[in-house]
Amino acid sequence: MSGWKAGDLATPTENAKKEPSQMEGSEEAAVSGNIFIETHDDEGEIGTLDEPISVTLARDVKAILTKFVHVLLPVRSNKALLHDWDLWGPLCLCLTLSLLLHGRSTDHSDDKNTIHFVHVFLLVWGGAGVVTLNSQLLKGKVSFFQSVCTLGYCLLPLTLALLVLRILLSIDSLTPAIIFIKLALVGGALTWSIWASLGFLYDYLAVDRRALAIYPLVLFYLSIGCLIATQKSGLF
Amino acid sequence: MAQGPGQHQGYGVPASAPPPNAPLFQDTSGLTQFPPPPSMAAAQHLINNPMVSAAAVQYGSEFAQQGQAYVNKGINRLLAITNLKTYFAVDTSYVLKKLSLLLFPYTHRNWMVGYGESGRTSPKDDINAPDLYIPVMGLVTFVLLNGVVLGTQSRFTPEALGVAGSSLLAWLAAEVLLLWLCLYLLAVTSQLRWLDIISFCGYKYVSMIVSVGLSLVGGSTVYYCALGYTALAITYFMVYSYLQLHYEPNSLPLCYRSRV
Repeated sequence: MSGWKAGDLATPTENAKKEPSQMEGSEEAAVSGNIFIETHDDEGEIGTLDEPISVTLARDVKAILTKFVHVLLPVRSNKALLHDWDLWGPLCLCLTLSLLLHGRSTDHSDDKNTIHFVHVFLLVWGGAGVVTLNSQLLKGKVSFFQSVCTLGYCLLPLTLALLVLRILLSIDSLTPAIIFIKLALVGGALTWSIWASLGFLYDYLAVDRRALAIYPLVLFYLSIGCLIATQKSGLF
Repeated sequence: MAQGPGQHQGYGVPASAPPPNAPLFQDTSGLTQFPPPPSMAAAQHLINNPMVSAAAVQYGSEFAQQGQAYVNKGINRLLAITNLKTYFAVDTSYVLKKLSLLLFPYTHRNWMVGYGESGRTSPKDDINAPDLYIPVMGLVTFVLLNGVVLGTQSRFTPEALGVAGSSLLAWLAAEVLLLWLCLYLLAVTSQLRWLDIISFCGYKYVSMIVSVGLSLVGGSTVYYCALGYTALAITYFMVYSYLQLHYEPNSLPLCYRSRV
Protein backbone atom coordinates (compact mmCIF):
# COMPACT_ATOMS: atom_id res chain seq x y z
CA MET A 1 0.00 0.00 0.00
CA SER A 2 2.93 2.28 0.37
CA GLY A 3 3.34 2.76 -3.30
CA TRP A 4 -0.21 3.88 -3.91
CA LYS A 5 -0.60 7.32 -5.33
CA ALA A 6 -3.59 9.31 -6.40
CA GLY A 7 -3.11 8.67 -10.04
CA ASP A 8 -2.63 4.98 -9.77
CA LEU A 9 -6.20 3.93 -10.22
CA ALA A 10 -6.41 5.26 -13.74
CA THR A 11 -6.22 2.05 -15.70
CA PRO A 12 -5.96 -1.56 -14.60
CA THR A 13 -3.06 -3.61 -15.83
CA GLU A 14 -2.73 -7.25 -16.68
CA ASN A 15 -1.74 -8.08 -13.12
CA ALA A 16 -4.95 -6.77 -11.71
CA LYS A 17 -6.94 -8.57 -14.36
CA LYS A 18 -5.36 -11.91 -13.67
CA GLU A 19 -6.00 -12.05 -9.98
CA PRO A 20 -9.78 -12.47 -9.87
CA SER A 21 -9.65 -15.49 -12.18
CA GLN A 22 -7.10 -17.13 -9.97
CA MET A 23 -9.30 -16.58 -7.00
CA GLU A 24 -12.42 -18.02 -8.56
CA GLY A 25 -11.79 -21.66 -7.92
CA SER A 26 -10.79 -21.89 -4.29
CA GLU A 27 -12.38 -20.14 -1.41
CA GLU A 28 -9.27 -20.37 0.63
CA ALA A 29 -7.18 -18.22 -1.70
CA ALA A 30 -5.74 -15.30 0.12
CA VAL A 31 -7.77 -12.21 -0.37
CA SER A 32 -4.68 -10.22 -0.76
CA GLY A 33 -3.44 -8.43 -3.73
CA ASN A 34 -1.68 -5.29 -4.60
CA ILE A 35 -3.48 -2.05 -4.60
CA PHE A 36 -0.30 -0.64 -5.98
CA ILE A 37 -0.82 -0.86 -9.71
CA GLU A 38 1.49 0.66 -12.22
CA THR A 39 -0.62 2.92 -14.28
CA HIS A 40 -0.04 3.08 -17.91
CA ASP A 41 -2.62 3.48 -20.59
CA ASP A 42 -2.17 2.07 -24.03
CA GLU A 43 0.50 4.46 -25.15
CA GLY A 44 2.60 3.93 -22.08
CA GLU A 45 2.26 7.47 -20.73
CA ILE A 46 1.81 8.42 -17.14
CA GLY A 47 -1.64 8.95 -15.77
CA THR A 48 -3.07 12.35 -16.58
CA LEU A 49 -3.96 13.39 -13.07
CA ASP A 50 -0.39 14.19 -12.13
CA GLU A 51 0.58 16.52 -14.89
CA PRO A 52 0.66 20.30 -14.51
CA ILE A 53 -2.40 22.24 -15.55
CA SER A 54 -0.66 24.01 -18.40
CA VAL A 55 0.04 20.67 -20.06
CA THR A 56 -3.61 19.63 -19.74
CA LEU A 57 -4.86 22.92 -21.11
CA ALA A 58 -2.33 22.90 -23.90
CA ARG A 59 -3.38 19.41 -24.92
CA ASP A 60 -7.06 20.33 -24.97
CA VAL A 61 -6.47 23.56 -26.85
CA LYS A 62 -4.38 21.68 -29.37
CA ALA A 63 -7.17 19.16 -29.85
CA ILE A 64 -9.69 21.94 -30.44
CA LEU A 65 -7.42 23.72 -32.90
CA THR A 66 -6.76 20.49 -34.78
CA LYS A 67 -10.48 20.04 -35.19
CA PHE A 68 -10.81 23.61 -36.40
CA VAL A 69 -8.26 22.87 -39.09
CA HIS A 70 -10.19 19.74 -40.05
CA VAL A 71 -13.31 21.82 -40.48
CA LEU A 72 -11.57 24.46 -42.56
CA LEU A 73 -10.00 21.90 -44.83
CA PRO A 74 -12.44 19.03 -44.70
CA VAL A 75 -11.13 15.69 -45.84
CA ARG A 76 -13.68 12.93 -45.84
CA SER A 77 -11.35 10.24 -44.57
CA ASN A 78 -10.59 12.26 -41.46
CA LYS A 79 -12.73 11.04 -38.63
CA ALA A 80 -11.20 12.92 -35.74
CA LEU A 81 -14.30 15.02 -35.18
CA LEU A 82 -16.41 11.99 -34.69
CA HIS A 83 -14.10 9.76 -32.71
CA ASP A 84 -12.74 12.27 -30.22
CA TRP A 85 -15.72 14.47 -29.91
CA ASP A 86 -15.75 17.26 -27.39
CA LEU A 87 -18.08 20.15 -26.78
CA TRP A 88 -15.52 22.82 -25.90
CA GLY A 89 -15.02 23.92 -29.48
CA PRO A 90 -18.74 24.37 -30.18
CA LEU A 91 -19.06 26.24 -26.89
CA CYS A 92 -16.28 28.67 -27.81
CA LEU A 93 -17.78 29.21 -31.26
CA CYS A 94 -21.24 29.70 -29.83
CA LEU A 95 -19.97 32.24 -27.31
CA THR A 96 -18.09 34.13 -30.02
CA LEU A 97 -21.14 34.15 -32.27
CA SER A 98 -23.38 35.35 -29.47
CA LEU A 99 -20.97 38.08 -28.42
CA LEU A 100 -20.61 39.33 -31.98
CA LEU A 101 -24.26 39.05 -32.88
CA HIS A 102 -25.96 40.57 -29.91
CA GLY A 103 -26.81 44.19 -30.23
CA ARG A 104 -25.95 46.73 -27.63
CA SER A 105 -28.96 48.54 -26.27
CA THR A 106 -27.38 51.97 -26.71
CA ASP A 107 -27.17 51.43 -30.45
CA HIS A 108 -30.84 51.19 -31.27
CA SER A 109 -33.69 53.44 -30.41
CA ASP A 110 -36.08 50.58 -29.75
CA ASP A 111 -34.57 47.53 -28.24
CA LYS A 112 -37.25 45.19 -29.49
CA ASN A 113 -35.15 44.55 -32.55
CA THR A 114 -31.98 43.64 -30.77
CA ILE A 115 -30.79 40.12 -30.90
CA HIS A 116 -29.94 39.12 -27.40
CA PHE A 117 -27.17 36.81 -26.30
CA VAL A 118 -29.71 34.23 -25.21
CA HIS A 119 -31.35 34.07 -28.63
CA VAL A 120 -28.21 33.01 -30.40
CA PHE A 121 -27.23 30.59 -27.67
CA LEU A 122 -30.62 28.90 -27.72
CA LEU A 123 -30.72 28.86 -31.50
CA VAL A 124 -27.34 27.15 -31.75
CA TRP A 125 -27.80 24.49 -29.09
CA GLY A 126 -31.51 23.97 -29.60
CA GLY A 127 -31.10 23.80 -33.35
CA ALA A 128 -28.20 21.36 -33.10
CA GLY A 129 -30.26 19.23 -30.71
CA VAL A 130 -33.27 19.16 -33.02
CA VAL A 131 -31.21 18.30 -36.08
CA THR A 132 -29.49 15.49 -34.17
CA LEU A 133 -32.76 14.14 -32.79
CA ASN A 134 -34.14 14.11 -36.28
CA SER A 135 -31.24 12.18 -37.72
CA GLN A 136 -31.41 9.73 -34.82
CA LEU A 137 -35.12 9.13 -35.38
CA LEU A 138 -34.33 8.57 -39.03
CA LYS A 139 -32.01 5.76 -37.93
CA GLY A 140 -28.71 7.51 -38.45
CA LYS A 141 -25.68 5.81 -36.97
CA VAL A 142 -24.05 8.75 -35.22
CA SER A 143 -24.47 9.13 -31.50
CA PHE A 144 -26.13 12.21 -30.07
CA PHE A 145 -23.05 14.07 -28.87
CA GLN A 146 -20.95 13.18 -31.88
CA SER A 147 -23.50 14.82 -34.11
CA VAL A 148 -23.86 17.89 -31.88
CA CYS A 149 -20.07 18.22 -31.80
CA THR A 150 -19.82 18.08 -35.60
CA LEU A 151 -22.59 20.61 -36.10
CA GLY A 152 -20.99 22.93 -33.58
CA TYR A 153 -17.52 22.75 -35.07
CA CYS A 154 -18.86 23.43 -38.55
CA LEU A 155 -20.05 26.82 -37.31
CA LEU A 156 -16.45 28.00 -37.67
CA PRO A 157 -16.76 29.35 -41.26
CA LEU A 158 -19.86 31.31 -40.30
CA THR A 159 -18.11 32.78 -37.28
CA LEU A 160 -15.14 33.85 -39.37
CA ALA A 161 -17.49 35.40 -41.93
CA LEU A 162 -19.25 37.32 -39.18
CA LEU A 163 -15.94 38.65 -37.87
CA VAL A 164 -14.85 39.76 -41.32
CA LEU A 165 -18.26 41.29 -41.99
CA ARG A 166 -18.24 43.36 -38.84
CA ILE A 167 -14.74 44.58 -39.55
CA LEU A 168 -15.81 45.59 -43.05
CA LEU A 169 -18.98 47.24 -41.78
CA SER A 170 -16.95 49.65 -39.74
CA ILE A 171 -15.21 50.91 -42.88
CA ASP A 172 -17.60 53.58 -44.12
CA SER A 173 -16.35 53.75 -47.65
CA LEU A 174 -17.67 50.29 -48.39
CA THR A 175 -21.28 51.09 -47.49
CA PRO A 176 -22.76 51.24 -51.06
CA ALA A 177 -21.44 47.81 -51.94
CA ILE A 178 -22.23 46.32 -48.56
CA ILE A 179 -25.15 44.24 -49.75
CA PHE A 180 -23.02 42.39 -52.28
CA ILE A 181 -20.27 41.90 -49.75
CA LYS A 182 -22.80 40.51 -47.30
CA LEU A 183 -24.27 38.14 -49.85
CA ALA A 184 -20.88 36.92 -50.96
CA LEU A 185 -19.48 36.44 -47.46
CA VAL A 186 -22.54 34.85 -45.91
CA GLY A 187 -23.31 32.73 -48.94
CA GLY A 188 -19.74 31.48 -49.16
CA ALA A 189 -19.54 30.71 -45.44
CA LEU A 190 -22.89 28.96 -45.58
CA THR A 191 -21.88 26.65 -48.39
CA TRP A 192 -18.58 25.93 -46.65
CA SER A 193 -20.28 25.04 -43.36
CA ILE A 194 -22.87 22.83 -44.99
CA TRP A 195 -20.29 21.12 -47.16
CA ALA A 196 -17.98 20.51 -44.17
CA SER A 197 -20.69 19.06 -41.94
CA LEU A 198 -22.02 16.91 -44.75
CA GLY A 199 -18.53 15.64 -45.38
CA PHE A 200 -18.35 14.32 -41.84
CA LEU A 201 -21.88 13.03 -41.47
CA TYR A 202 -22.67 11.77 -44.94
CA ASP A 203 -21.50 8.23 -44.49
CA TYR A 204 -23.47 7.76 -41.29
CA LEU A 205 -26.89 8.67 -42.60
CA ALA A 206 -29.20 5.93 -43.79
CA VAL A 207 -29.04 5.62 -47.53
CA ASP A 208 -32.62 6.24 -48.58
CA ARG A 209 -33.14 9.09 -46.14
CA ARG A 210 -30.16 11.29 -46.77
CA ALA A 211 -32.15 14.18 -48.20
CA LEU A 212 -34.52 14.02 -45.23
CA ALA A 213 -31.68 14.33 -42.75
CA ILE A 214 -29.86 17.01 -44.77
CA TYR A 215 -32.88 19.30 -44.95
CA PRO A 216 -32.99 20.35 -41.26
CA LEU A 217 -29.21 20.75 -41.29
CA VAL A 218 -29.53 23.21 -44.16
CA LEU A 219 -32.31 25.02 -42.31
CA PHE A 220 -30.12 25.28 -39.20
CA TYR A 221 -27.16 26.87 -40.95
CA LEU A 222 -29.46 29.02 -43.06
CA SER A 223 -31.10 30.53 -40.00
CA ILE A 224 -27.73 31.39 -38.47
CA GLY A 225 -26.65 32.82 -41.80
CA CYS A 226 -29.76 35.00 -41.88
CA LEU A 227 -28.95 36.31 -38.41
CA ILE A 228 -25.46 37.16 -39.61
CA ALA A 229 -26.74 38.84 -42.73
CA THR A 230 -28.90 41.24 -40.78
CA GLN A 231 -25.95 42.82 -39.00
CA LYS A 232 -25.77 46.53 -39.47
CA SER A 233 -23.16 47.88 -37.14
CA GLY A 234 -19.42 47.53 -37.38
CA LEU A 235 -17.00 46.39 -34.79
CA PHE A 236 -15.24 49.67 -34.04
CA MET B 1 -78.85 -35.12 19.89
CA ALA B 2 -77.18 -38.41 19.52
CA GLN B 3 -74.82 -37.01 16.95
CA GLY B 4 -71.21 -36.57 17.74
CA PRO B 5 -69.70 -33.29 18.76
CA GLY B 6 -68.87 -30.89 15.93
CA GLN B 7 -71.68 -32.05 13.68
CA HIS B 8 -74.16 -29.49 12.36
CA GLN B 9 -77.38 -30.33 10.67
CA GLY B 10 -78.41 -28.89 7.38
CA TYR B 11 -75.09 -27.48 6.28
CA GLY B 12 -74.23 -30.23 3.87
CA VAL B 13 -71.16 -31.01 5.85
CA PRO B 14 -69.77 -34.50 5.46
CA ALA B 15 -70.60 -36.61 8.40
CA SER B 16 -67.00 -37.38 9.12
CA ALA B 17 -66.25 -34.45 11.42
CA PRO B 18 -62.86 -34.97 13.05
CA PRO B 19 -63.04 -36.14 16.70
CA PRO B 20 -61.37 -33.88 19.26
CA ASN B 21 -58.27 -36.03 19.40
CA ALA B 22 -57.81 -36.09 15.64
CA PRO B 23 -54.43 -35.23 14.12
CA LEU B 24 -54.02 -31.62 13.11
CA PHE B 25 -53.98 -32.24 9.38
CA GLN B 26 -56.27 -34.32 7.24
CA ASP B 27 -54.63 -37.32 5.63
CA THR B 28 -55.02 -36.42 2.00
CA SER B 29 -52.95 -39.21 0.53
CA GLY B 30 -55.99 -41.02 -0.83
CA LEU B 31 -57.74 -38.00 -2.25
CA THR B 32 -58.14 -37.53 -6.00
CA GLN B 33 -59.05 -33.89 -5.82
CA PHE B 34 -56.87 -30.97 -4.80
CA PRO B 35 -57.44 -28.97 -2.65
CA PRO B 36 -59.38 -31.27 -0.34
CA PRO B 37 -62.97 -30.09 0.14
CA PRO B 38 -62.98 -28.12 3.33
CA SER B 39 -65.18 -28.97 6.26
CA MET B 40 -66.50 -26.42 8.67
CA ALA B 41 -64.65 -27.84 11.56
CA ALA B 42 -61.40 -27.99 9.67
CA ALA B 43 -61.81 -24.50 8.28
CA GLN B 44 -59.46 -22.93 10.77
CA HIS B 45 -56.78 -25.42 9.81
CA LEU B 46 -57.01 -24.47 6.17
CA ILE B 47 -54.83 -21.42 6.42
CA ASN B 48 -52.32 -23.31 8.48
CA ASN B 49 -52.15 -25.99 5.78
CA PRO B 50 -49.00 -25.13 3.82
CA MET B 51 -50.26 -26.56 0.55
CA VAL B 52 -53.40 -24.48 0.61
CA SER B 53 -51.60 -21.33 1.64
CA ALA B 54 -49.02 -21.87 -1.08
CA ALA B 55 -51.80 -22.25 -3.60
CA ALA B 56 -53.45 -19.09 -2.32
CA VAL B 57 -50.20 -17.15 -2.63
CA GLN B 58 -49.70 -18.43 -6.14
CA TYR B 59 -53.20 -17.50 -7.25
CA GLY B 60 -52.79 -14.11 -5.63
CA SER B 61 -49.54 -13.40 -7.42
CA GLU B 62 -51.02 -14.53 -10.72
CA PHE B 63 -53.89 -12.11 -10.30
CA ALA B 64 -51.42 -9.38 -9.38
CA GLN B 65 -49.39 -10.04 -12.50
CA GLN B 66 -52.47 -9.98 -14.68
CA GLY B 67 -53.50 -6.71 -13.14
CA GLN B 68 -50.03 -5.26 -13.65
CA ALA B 69 -50.03 -6.35 -17.29
CA TYR B 70 -53.40 -4.71 -17.77
CA VAL B 71 -52.15 -1.44 -16.27
CA ASN B 72 -49.02 -1.54 -18.38
CA LYS B 73 -51.04 -2.11 -21.52
CA GLY B 74 -53.21 0.87 -20.66
CA ILE B 75 -50.20 3.10 -20.06
CA ASN B 76 -48.55 1.99 -23.27
CA ARG B 77 -51.65 2.73 -25.25
CA LEU B 78 -51.82 6.16 -23.69
CA LEU B 79 -48.23 7.12 -24.26
CA ALA B 80 -47.60 5.20 -27.49
CA ILE B 81 -43.91 5.76 -27.08
CA THR B 82 -42.92 2.56 -28.78
CA ASN B 83 -44.79 3.64 -31.89
CA LEU B 84 -42.82 6.83 -32.33
CA LYS B 85 -40.17 5.16 -34.41
CA THR B 86 -42.69 3.91 -36.97
CA TYR B 87 -43.85 7.47 -37.51
CA PHE B 88 -40.33 8.43 -38.48
CA ALA B 89 -39.66 5.40 -40.66
CA VAL B 90 -39.90 7.45 -43.80
CA ASP B 91 -37.76 7.71 -46.85
CA THR B 92 -37.27 10.35 -49.50
CA SER B 93 -39.66 8.89 -52.05
CA TYR B 94 -42.43 8.65 -49.46
CA VAL B 95 -41.95 12.29 -48.46
CA LEU B 96 -42.00 13.50 -52.06
CA LYS B 97 -45.08 11.47 -52.91
CA LYS B 98 -46.86 12.63 -49.78
CA LEU B 99 -46.07 16.26 -50.48
CA SER B 100 -47.45 15.98 -54.00
CA LEU B 101 -50.50 14.21 -52.55
CA LEU B 102 -51.09 17.04 -50.10
CA LEU B 103 -51.03 19.58 -52.89
CA PHE B 104 -52.91 17.52 -55.48
CA PRO B 105 -55.04 14.78 -53.88
CA TYR B 106 -57.73 14.61 -56.55
CA THR B 107 -56.41 11.64 -58.48
CA HIS B 108 -55.67 9.40 -55.50
CA ARG B 109 -58.01 6.43 -55.27
CA ASN B 110 -57.17 4.18 -52.34
CA TRP B 111 -57.07 6.07 -49.06
CA MET B 112 -57.12 3.18 -46.60
CA VAL B 113 -54.28 2.95 -44.15
CA GLY B 114 -52.80 -0.51 -44.42
CA TYR B 115 -52.42 -2.96 -41.56
CA GLY B 116 -49.96 -5.81 -41.61
CA GLU B 117 -49.52 -8.61 -39.09
CA SER B 118 -47.60 -6.44 -36.69
CA GLY B 119 -49.99 -3.51 -36.59
CA ARG B 120 -49.81 -0.61 -38.93
CA THR B 121 -47.55 -0.77 -41.94
CA SER B 122 -44.71 1.67 -41.88
CA PRO B 123 -44.86 4.79 -44.02
CA LYS B 124 -42.10 3.45 -46.24
CA ASP B 125 -44.44 0.79 -47.60
CA ASP B 126 -47.75 2.59 -47.53
CA ILE B 127 -48.36 6.05 -48.93
CA ASN B 128 -51.46 6.47 -46.77
CA ALA B 129 -49.77 5.85 -43.44
CA PRO B 130 -49.40 9.02 -41.37
CA ASP B 131 -45.92 10.08 -40.38
CA LEU B 132 -44.51 12.73 -38.08
CA TYR B 133 -41.52 13.88 -40.12
CA ILE B 134 -43.52 16.14 -42.43
CA PRO B 135 -45.46 17.90 -39.62
CA VAL B 136 -42.33 18.51 -37.54
CA MET B 137 -40.32 19.81 -40.47
CA GLY B 138 -43.33 21.84 -41.60
CA LEU B 139 -43.58 23.50 -38.20
CA VAL B 140 -39.90 24.44 -38.12
CA THR B 141 -39.90 25.63 -41.73
CA PHE B 142 -43.01 27.71 -41.22
CA VAL B 143 -41.56 29.46 -38.17
CA LEU B 144 -38.37 30.29 -40.08
CA LEU B 145 -40.36 31.40 -43.13
CA ASN B 146 -42.33 33.65 -40.82
CA GLY B 147 -39.06 35.23 -39.76
CA VAL B 148 -37.99 35.72 -43.37
CA VAL B 149 -41.27 37.39 -44.32
CA LEU B 150 -41.08 39.68 -41.30
CA GLY B 151 -37.54 40.50 -42.29
CA THR B 152 -38.57 41.55 -45.78
CA GLN B 153 -41.10 43.87 -44.18
CA SER B 154 -38.48 45.15 -41.73
CA ARG B 155 -40.56 43.96 -38.84
CA PHE B 156 -38.28 41.18 -37.69
CA THR B 157 -37.62 40.75 -33.99
CA PRO B 158 -36.26 37.55 -32.50
CA GLU B 159 -39.20 37.43 -30.11
CA ALA B 160 -41.50 37.14 -33.11
CA LEU B 161 -39.98 33.76 -33.93
CA GLY B 162 -40.70 32.49 -30.45
CA VAL B 163 -44.21 33.91 -30.52
CA ALA B 164 -44.88 32.29 -33.90
CA GLY B 165 -43.57 28.91 -32.75
CA SER B 166 -45.51 28.82 -29.52
CA SER B 167 -48.75 30.02 -31.06
CA LEU B 168 -48.45 27.37 -33.79
CA LEU B 169 -48.05 24.71 -31.12
CA ALA B 170 -51.00 26.08 -29.17
CA TRP B 171 -53.24 26.05 -32.24
CA LEU B 172 -52.14 22.50 -33.02
CA ALA B 173 -52.98 21.38 -29.50
CA ALA B 174 -56.39 23.06 -29.65
CA GLU B 175 -57.19 21.44 -32.98
CA VAL B 176 -56.10 18.00 -31.86
CA LEU B 177 -58.20 18.28 -28.70
CA LEU B 178 -61.24 19.47 -30.64
CA LEU B 179 -60.93 16.63 -33.11
CA TRP B 180 -60.48 14.07 -30.36
CA LEU B 181 -63.53 15.49 -28.56
CA CYS B 182 -65.64 15.17 -31.69
CA LEU B 183 -64.51 11.61 -32.23
CA TYR B 184 -65.29 10.79 -28.63
CA LEU B 185 -68.71 12.41 -28.59
CA LEU B 186 -69.75 10.77 -31.82
CA ALA B 187 -68.57 7.43 -30.45
CA VAL B 188 -66.54 6.65 -33.51
CA THR B 189 -64.49 3.57 -32.81
CA SER B 190 -61.39 3.59 -34.89
CA GLN B 191 -57.79 2.64 -34.83
CA LEU B 192 -56.58 6.22 -34.92
CA ARG B 193 -54.29 7.14 -32.05
CA TRP B 194 -53.18 10.51 -30.71
CA LEU B 195 -50.09 10.54 -32.88
CA ASP B 196 -52.20 9.89 -35.96
CA ILE B 197 -54.43 12.84 -35.18
CA ILE B 198 -51.40 15.06 -34.56
CA SER B 199 -49.92 13.86 -37.80
CA PHE B 200 -53.03 14.59 -39.86
CA CYS B 201 -53.44 18.00 -38.27
CA GLY B 202 -49.82 18.78 -38.96
CA TYR B 203 -50.10 18.21 -42.68
CA LYS B 204 -51.68 21.60 -43.17
CA TYR B 205 -48.34 23.29 -42.46
CA VAL B 206 -47.32 22.27 -45.95
CA SER B 207 -50.18 24.27 -47.42
CA MET B 208 -49.32 27.23 -45.23
CA ILE B 209 -45.69 27.12 -46.30
CA VAL B 210 -46.65 27.01 -49.97
CA SER B 211 -49.02 29.97 -49.64
CA VAL B 212 -46.65 32.13 -47.64
CA GLY B 213 -43.67 31.17 -49.79
CA LEU B 214 -45.49 32.14 -52.94
CA SER B 215 -46.49 35.42 -51.36
CA LEU B 216 -42.82 36.27 -50.99
CA VAL B 217 -42.46 35.94 -54.72
CA GLY B 218 -45.72 37.28 -56.05
CA GLY B 219 -47.40 39.60 -53.60
CA SER B 220 -50.87 39.50 -52.09
CA THR B 221 -52.89 38.33 -55.14
CA VAL B 222 -50.69 35.29 -55.55
CA TYR B 223 -51.00 34.73 -51.81
CA TYR B 224 -54.81 34.67 -51.84
CA CYS B 225 -54.96 32.44 -54.92
CA ALA B 226 -52.49 29.99 -53.43
CA LEU B 227 -54.32 30.10 -50.11
CA GLY B 228 -57.62 29.24 -51.75
CA TYR B 229 -56.20 26.42 -53.82
CA THR B 230 -54.20 24.80 -51.03
CA ALA B 231 -57.12 25.13 -48.60
CA LEU B 232 -59.38 23.21 -50.96
CA ALA B 233 -56.72 20.58 -51.59
CA ILE B 234 -55.98 19.99 -47.92
CA THR B 235 -59.72 19.82 -47.12
CA TYR B 236 -60.18 17.16 -49.78
CA PHE B 237 -57.21 15.27 -48.37
CA MET B 238 -58.51 15.42 -44.79
CA VAL B 239 -62.05 14.39 -45.68
CA TYR B 240 -60.91 11.32 -47.56
CA SER B 241 -58.36 10.41 -44.93
CA TYR B 242 -60.91 10.54 -42.14
CA LEU B 243 -63.61 8.71 -44.12
CA GLN B 244 -61.84 5.45 -43.35
CA LEU B 245 -62.83 5.90 -39.70
CA HIS B 246 -66.08 4.10 -40.46
CA TYR B 247 -64.29 0.85 -40.86
CA GLU B 248 -62.62 -1.47 -38.43
CA PRO B 249 -59.38 -2.48 -40.05
CA ASN B 250 -60.07 -6.19 -40.15
CA SER B 251 -63.56 -5.83 -41.48
CA LEU B 252 -62.37 -4.43 -44.75
CA PRO B 253 -62.49 -6.57 -47.84
CA LEU B 254 -59.11 -7.93 -48.76
CA CYS B 255 -58.65 -5.58 -51.67
CA TYR B 256 -58.52 -2.64 -49.26
CA ARG B 257 -55.98 -4.12 -46.95
CA SER B 258 -52.31 -3.57 -47.44
CA ARG B 259 -50.48 -6.17 -49.44
CA VAL B 260 -47.71 -6.40 -46.88
